Amino acid sequence: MTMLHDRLADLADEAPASLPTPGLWDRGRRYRRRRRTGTLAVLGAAVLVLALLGGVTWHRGAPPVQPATGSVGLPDRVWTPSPWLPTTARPGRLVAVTGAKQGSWTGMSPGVVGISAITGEYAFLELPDLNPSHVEEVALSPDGGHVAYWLSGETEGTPNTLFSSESVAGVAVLDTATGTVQQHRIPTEHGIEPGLLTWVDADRVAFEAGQIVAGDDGSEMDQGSTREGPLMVWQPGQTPAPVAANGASGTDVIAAGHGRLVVADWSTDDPGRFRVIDLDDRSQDRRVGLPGPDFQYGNRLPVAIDASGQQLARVEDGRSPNRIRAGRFFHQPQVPRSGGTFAVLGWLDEDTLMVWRRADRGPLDRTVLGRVSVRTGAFEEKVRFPRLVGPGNVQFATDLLDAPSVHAEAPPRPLDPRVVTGLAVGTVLAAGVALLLWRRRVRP
Amino acid sequence: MSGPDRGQPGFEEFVAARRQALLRTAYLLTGSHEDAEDLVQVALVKAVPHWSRIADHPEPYVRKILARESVSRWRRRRWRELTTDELPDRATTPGLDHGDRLALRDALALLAPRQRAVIVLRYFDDLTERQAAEALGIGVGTVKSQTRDALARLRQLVPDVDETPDSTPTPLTR
Repeated sequence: MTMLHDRLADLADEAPASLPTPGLWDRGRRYRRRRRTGTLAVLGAAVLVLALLGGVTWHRGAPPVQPATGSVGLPDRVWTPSPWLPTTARPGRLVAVTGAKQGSWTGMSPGVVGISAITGEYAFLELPDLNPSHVEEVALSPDGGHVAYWLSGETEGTPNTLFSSESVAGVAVLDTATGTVQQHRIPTEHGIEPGLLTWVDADRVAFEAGQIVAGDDGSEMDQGSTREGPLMVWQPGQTPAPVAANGASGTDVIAAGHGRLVVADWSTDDPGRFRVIDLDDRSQDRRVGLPGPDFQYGNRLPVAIDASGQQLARVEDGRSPNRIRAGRFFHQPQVPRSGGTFAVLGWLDEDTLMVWRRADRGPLDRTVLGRVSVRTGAFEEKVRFPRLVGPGNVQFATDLLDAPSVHAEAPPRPLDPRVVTGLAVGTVLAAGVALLLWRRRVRP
Repeated sequence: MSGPDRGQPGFEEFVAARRQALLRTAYLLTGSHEDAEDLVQVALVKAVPHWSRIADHPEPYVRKILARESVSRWRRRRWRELTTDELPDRATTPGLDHGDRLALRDALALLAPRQRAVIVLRYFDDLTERQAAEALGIGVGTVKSQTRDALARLRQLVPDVDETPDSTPTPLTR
């Protein structure tokens, strides 16, 4: 037996003799130059791609330059928000809110976008514990300073998932100036069925929270049943108080604003079945007549009451869109040339309404917001919308409807951060692979 | 006392002093005179860009290039060349035991390139397992398993050879 080491050493004696090889140093220097050039080229290309990506991302995410007037304005156009807009808890005074899909790393979820009354910027609102099934039912206060919404929460008993995937367990209000959120939790056995949620004025929100009769372990009939709750008025910071209006509930409210509620008594066909409730002076409560309306759209009430509490305006019943009726109680003549109106948002003065109607020009599914004279029917377009957007999709701060019209630039359309990250990682990986292949490929 | 020259003179001096030893290792790694020459030249040229950093102790770095290059160039050639179980006849140096050398040379040629490199580094250059792992850029565990498999194969092919017992490596002075 011979040792492997010795056998290898013996075999190594066959190695060729060392001969002088001039130029090795120079070859090495050239090799280094080639490697360095290739490396710099690959890194330069990668940096260029990353810079391009960063530039496009920044450009698409940067808010448009708007004239900084510092005062509120009504945008002349509402745009479809991007799912990748930033989120803020302090958007400042809002002129409008709209529901929108909000993107995240894991997918899309319903969110609420606020449009700043000062800057016109769009941003998702940070609404803690917002119930995802009732995103469309948020309520913007008339002055644009508060947003009310339904809260998710725990139930005391078995939750009911028939109505919504997450149980509703209260009401909350976001102060858009400070970002503070005040919550009013409502004890509930199986969850709350949200009824009315609307602002009575800039400081008080009215709501009605029905109690779901049974949870998922109850009988089918009970699972689908709710008990109406009392009509409540809440000034954030104080305790909500019931509005004692002869047992009125949320479904009875047909108008709210300027500190007043108009409630209907649906048990009678009497024209004087409506009651105006003045929340600041209940001695002013009075019965009024209002022919016709027998429906409502959740918190987006079909009837607008003016600041004096003496006039109402509404779209005629029967079909939508339709003409407007406006005037004092018991006498509401048709507004001339007002066909094609979907909703009345509010009174701007004694003679002028802000209404949502079909656009005079363009596709049939395009709607506009504009001023209409009750006396003459003259219409002035103020806000345009994307196609298929109508009342119920965008909610305005009604006190700001007569603010000066301002040109609204399109909000930013940030790139999907998942795509941006993927492209950046891909670029770095590609550069790494290219570098590796190049350094392997380049021969001395 | 001044240190080694970090420029061309120091490099030329190293090449003159150590080229033959590097050729011996390269020959064991490749089994071919031409490939051994080429391998050593490539290793030396690749060491030039790093010379100012390694001038104090260049040999481990050059041997690392030698070992890795021998494995990677085999991988590159694998796609271009046909493999065969029959080795070509080669010229032998007069005065040596041709039978023993031929048997070992043929046996080494039948090893996988990494196994061959591990055998050369461990049993000719007397590197420890950790040093061999660093030279090849692989884990110590891989060195152990490759050594075990290579020795088993060598014992089959060259029954009269016995491996050197594991011990601390001797300085590379061949």
